[in-house]
Amino acid sequence: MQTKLILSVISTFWFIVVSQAQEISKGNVFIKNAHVITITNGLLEHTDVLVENGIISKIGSGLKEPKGVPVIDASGQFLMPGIIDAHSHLALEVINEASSPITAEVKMEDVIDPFDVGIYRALAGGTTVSHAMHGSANAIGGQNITLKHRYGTRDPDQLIMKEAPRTIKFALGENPIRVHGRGKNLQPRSRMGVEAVIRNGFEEALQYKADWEDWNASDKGKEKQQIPPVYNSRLETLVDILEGEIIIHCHSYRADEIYMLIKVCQEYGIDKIVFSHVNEGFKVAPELAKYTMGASVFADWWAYKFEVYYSTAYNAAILTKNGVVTSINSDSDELIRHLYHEAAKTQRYGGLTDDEALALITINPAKQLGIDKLVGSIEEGKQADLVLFDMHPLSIYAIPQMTWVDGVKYFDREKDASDQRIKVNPEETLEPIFLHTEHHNCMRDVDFYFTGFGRNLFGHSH
Amino acid sequence: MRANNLLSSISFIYLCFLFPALLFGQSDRNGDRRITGTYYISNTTLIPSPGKILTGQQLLFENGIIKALGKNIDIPAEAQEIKGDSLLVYPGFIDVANKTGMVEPTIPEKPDDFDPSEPLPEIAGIHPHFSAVDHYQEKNPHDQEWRKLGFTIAQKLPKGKGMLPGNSALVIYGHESRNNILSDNQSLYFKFSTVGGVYPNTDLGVMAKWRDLLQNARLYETHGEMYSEQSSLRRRESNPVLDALIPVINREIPVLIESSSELDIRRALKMQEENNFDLIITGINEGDALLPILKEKKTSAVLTLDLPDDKFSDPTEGEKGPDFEKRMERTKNAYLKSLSLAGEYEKAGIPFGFTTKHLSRTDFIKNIRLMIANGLSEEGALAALTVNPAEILQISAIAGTLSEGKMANMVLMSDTLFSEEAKVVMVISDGYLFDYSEKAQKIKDGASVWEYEAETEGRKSKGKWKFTKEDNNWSGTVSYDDPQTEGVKTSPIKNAVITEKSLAFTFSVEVGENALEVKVSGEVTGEKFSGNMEIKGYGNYQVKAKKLEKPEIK
Amino acid sequence: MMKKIIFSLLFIICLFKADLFAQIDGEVVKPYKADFLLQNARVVTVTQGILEDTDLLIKDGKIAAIGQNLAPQNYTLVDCSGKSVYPGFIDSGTSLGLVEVNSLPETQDFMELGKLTPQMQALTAVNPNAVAIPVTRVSGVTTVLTQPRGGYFPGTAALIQLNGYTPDQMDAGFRAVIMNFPSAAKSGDYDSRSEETIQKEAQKKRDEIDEIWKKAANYLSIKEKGGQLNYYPEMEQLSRVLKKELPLFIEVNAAKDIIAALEWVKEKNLEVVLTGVAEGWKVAEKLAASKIPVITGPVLTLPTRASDKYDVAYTNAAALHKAGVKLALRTQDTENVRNLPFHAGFAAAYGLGVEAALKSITINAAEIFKVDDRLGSLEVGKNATLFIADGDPFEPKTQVEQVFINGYRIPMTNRHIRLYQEFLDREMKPAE
Repeated sequence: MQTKLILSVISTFWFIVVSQAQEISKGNVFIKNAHVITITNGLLEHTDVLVENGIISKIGSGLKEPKGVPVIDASGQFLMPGIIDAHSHLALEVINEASSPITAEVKMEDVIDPFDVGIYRALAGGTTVSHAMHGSANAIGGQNITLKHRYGTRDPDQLIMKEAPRTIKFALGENPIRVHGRGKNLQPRSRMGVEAVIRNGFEEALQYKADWEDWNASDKGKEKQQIPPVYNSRLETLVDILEGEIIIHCHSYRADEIYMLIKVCQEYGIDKIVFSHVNEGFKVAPELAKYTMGASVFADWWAYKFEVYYSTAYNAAILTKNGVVTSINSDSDELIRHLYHEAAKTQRYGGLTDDEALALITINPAKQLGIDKLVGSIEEGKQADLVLFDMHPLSIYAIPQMTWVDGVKYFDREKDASDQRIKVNPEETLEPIFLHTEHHNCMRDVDFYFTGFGRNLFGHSH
Repeated sequence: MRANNLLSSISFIYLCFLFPALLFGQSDRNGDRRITGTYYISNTTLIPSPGKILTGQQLLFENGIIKALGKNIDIPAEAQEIKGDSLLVYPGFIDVANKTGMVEPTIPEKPDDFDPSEPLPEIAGIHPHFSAVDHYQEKNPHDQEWRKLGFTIAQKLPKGKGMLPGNSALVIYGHESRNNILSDNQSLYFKFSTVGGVYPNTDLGVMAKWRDLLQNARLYETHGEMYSEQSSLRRRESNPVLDALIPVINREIPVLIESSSELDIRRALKMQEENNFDLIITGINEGDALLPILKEKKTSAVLTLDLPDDKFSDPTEGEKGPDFEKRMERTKNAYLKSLSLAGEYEKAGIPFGFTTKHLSRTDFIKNIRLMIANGLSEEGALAALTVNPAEILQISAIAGTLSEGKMANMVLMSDTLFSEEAKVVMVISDGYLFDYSEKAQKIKDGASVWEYEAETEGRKSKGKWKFTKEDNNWSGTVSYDDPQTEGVKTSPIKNAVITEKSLAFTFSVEVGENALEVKVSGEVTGEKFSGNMEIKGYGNYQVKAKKLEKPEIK
Repeated sequence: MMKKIIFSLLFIICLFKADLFAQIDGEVVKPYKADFLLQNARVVTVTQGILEDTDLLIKDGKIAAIGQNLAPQNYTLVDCSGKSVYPGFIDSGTSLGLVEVNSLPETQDFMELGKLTPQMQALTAVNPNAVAIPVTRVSGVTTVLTQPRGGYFPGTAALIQLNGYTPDQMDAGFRAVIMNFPSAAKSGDYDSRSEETIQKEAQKKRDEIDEIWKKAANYLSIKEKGGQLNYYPEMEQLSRVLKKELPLFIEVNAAKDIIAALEWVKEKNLEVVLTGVAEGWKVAEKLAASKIPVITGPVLTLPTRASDKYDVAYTNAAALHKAGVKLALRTQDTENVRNLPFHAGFAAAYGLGVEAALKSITINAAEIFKVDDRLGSLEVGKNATLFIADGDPFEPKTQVEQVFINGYRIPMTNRHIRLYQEFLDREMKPAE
């Protein structure tokens, strides 16, 4: 008896130690009597949702209250899946490795900043998953990382959504042209060059793959008549793209460049591609619908640079109605706090239905990130990333009340206190002030290449 | 294997030592030679290793090696006596990872058709084959100053802007007449930093580049092995960068990764996990949450002695209100936490060393005392200066404690180390004596020493003003950071006018061939000075100073 | 009754369908002026409550009558059953008309060289054909303050209405001299200056401004004495501020800067409005006590500090309002001034309340700009600058169906809508 007790104590202790070191915390919660916006199965009135060990285990009305599980009375409130942002630069120490037109080898997972208070702010806006992307300085940028907003951890790895497939950033148009062609006298200097750089990259990757196949196929041991090829993680990554292991998320604006990349991808047999921003996507909506994993757009951003001058706020509506898997992204630490409102704008600009509008920030971005089997809707068996609103989330007056990731509550408006910073600078007695004009964006960390020309200090520069 | 290498190289150096200064028929015309290299410290208190105190001891050393220690040891007739009564003898301190005395390596010029996406490795700050030994100025004044504080051995890091500036060396702060290099290629120095404007330009590129380099070093080695067995293959072109990485992948030398934040430490651990090399993390300034991981991985840890500025003892007028108070409370706690970091490491049972990199010499003892006041034990502090770094640098066989057969490196203190009263009386390094004992001197009437802090063009400079009065005239010296190198310089104080309520003087700073005239003036309230520093032709800067309670006498 | 139904059907088909979805090739759609009778509307007057089932007559560009069952006469009838009529919204701080494409310097006209350029006139550089203007006005935002930036005194802002072929036609009759109050705050992470340096630099700038101010006062006193003066347009413009012919809009955001600005203003007998005021919530009582009106915004922006509560930018307006500060809102935007109702909606949700939020983009703004005799509410005699919506205009779902500016019926189209019409279905369908 005594031994048994000791053993159980030890095993409990062991479990705690292990879970602290490795495991991602997962919670239980019983949310009672909510209007449940399932996304994939319409709106369920007066419905209960049971979460066990981070997973939605039961959805139904009049479910039995489980014992030992926190109960949330959500009467009159709206429960929806955690919002997913398919294009963000939140929680990153560095955004651009702008030194080469192709930097497929760099990984955003190396520079995750768990101390970014923006994660908490995103949670307070109901956003539970964000796609932390490389910037848009390079035709082929770095490998992105999909994050779950488990704010509070100091360990960058704990923010990673481990199940999410690999993705990579591409960028077309003005940004890579400006950084490399104008900034450094390297190709691309035009949209012709952007295509050439990408094609060159793919061709080099094919050659690289062949070299390695030769090396691996040649006889092992002393008789080997070949010398080992040079390892190159850049080309290695491009090979993985060509083999369909990585989803491309491509920063793009103009219809011609979008069309160009669709054609290039078709030629190389790539179908895992999502176009991001894609302000002129509406012009090539049928092609986007047919050949891609969709488009991730802004609700209404335009005119901050020439390539977005011929935009329309009806983009999401046109794309949706043309059968393109469409999402609305933030690309901003500010917008990520109210993507539900950005989605609502598609009701003004194009009259999308509630379901269509909310799919733009839930199941559709989940599809684009390859995680739609796990998150993006309220379904039994899915991960319990949830957000509770006091009103319908598409109303301007709706305020997120609570946000869960894996069934763990990370935000509760009732209990919200100021100063949610995890880490504090011991020398910072004078706190810096950030005014409206200083948001993060796609072109951070490229200043080095722009001392002296054309940089706009005021507006957006995505 | 590594330790053997090290020992053989050390024994080589010592062989040279046994035959000092061959004279070839010349007399010692200046009387520079030692009579003997044999000394003993008599009737003293030894602290041979942290936590051990032995009183009434003798310690004999000969030609730089400790020969014997104990109560009743045989003292040979040629041994010269060092009177050890009332002194405490500690092992010489060991500094991990500093750059004093190092000069920047020469980097090739960028070619006209320079492509920043594919720069030469040297231009990209990737020159692991550069050796600290080649860029070390042995007779630099800074290391002599550090020796005054008790340091006898240091690990020197090569300078350079990028991620792989080169390999480190171990040096002795010994006698100028000797070659004081203890060993080279002691570890590979890595930092999360870039040259800027070329690939790699950020930590993103640095991490990716590192992975590629290691992978290619392996392939390069394979290629070399294949070629040596089979000359019909394409020859292996020599690649000094990859050559320099082979000892890392074969775990013959560790990688010394410099960190400036908790996230850097985590990155370093991740790098190690990916590529399985021996790891030393230096510059640690935070990350108490990482203690269990560091302990589990037995990572060698080196903490920075450079603590954050204390902004709380003398708070500036700020905003008021509950938000402000709450935030200041958190900031202050963060400050206190950084003071207690060393203590936390000790409690967690992680042996760590210290680095003086970035540390101003005047802060050395002050900061250690702060750490002690915030939880670090005195034994722990001593260990971090002696046995732990010896272990980390794999020189425990020759340094770190006072014991027979080890190098004669020691610090003779007037009082318990770290106590307010303690002064370094003598440092013995490599068997050579450096006498820092104070000549009896009285505090002169009105003499005072001030510690000042000035801000010039966003940079802070610190130093001391020392005033003495003779025949009703004030004179003295001002010390400041040398604008050209890393050291401290002093200049004489001129035109000093000191009253109860004001203080003014001028001094000049030599910068190359030019001399800057500096005028300091301001008000004195009690022990505090607040005023202005005018650098002619440059502008006005604010200066604050505090009068030290007891003037130091040197 | 039947007639009414037919009328309303006609209206829907002609007015909306025609304009929104079926532009004939070569047809020029432009604003036109006529007498319109808006019938059976829910009239949200702002100043006199909400009037249900009420008619509103637009005649000669003015609101000629508000009442029930107004005689139709020969007016163009607009059935507003189930619809609401609102006064045109006013954005109290934008760059609209001064910028076409934000990243192209060739299209930026909001900043002149120099720190003392108060005489630079924003109205001069307003491009009446800026593509963003029709994009903005179909949202019900009819009137905006457009303003220069940069320097201590970047220039003179102008209130414009978003219809007209010349700047004069767009002039809504208000000017203000802009001043940027030098900040003693640490600005962003990359500001490595020490507290003392920051304070000193700000003080130096404030001293410079004081010098300029003294100079302007000197200029004015010589001028008033009839002394001979050289052409000095900078001082001339500032002397108008001193004489209270022009108000001074002081841009200030950090809490301690706001307090310093209040101090600065105290000694001077000026007409002042504080703008920005991002940290106003920290000093709301002091602001209220000063009785100085505040233009704050954007609402949809990040907190100024890492340690702030996540929603302080949303709640700032409410905090100021509750303290008793007279408040107007701005977007500080160019191409997305159309989001003004959403900024107001967020402020409303986060404590300001719908009524106060509505006032902050209508009558309060009009009062601050001293155009409340013409704009800011639906009252007889005021300009017919208003819009019809099918619901609460703060709600994204709501459609703004018709906008009138000074009695001009505004075509409910713009480039965004035309692109929608063209590309919703790329294949042309034969007409049914």
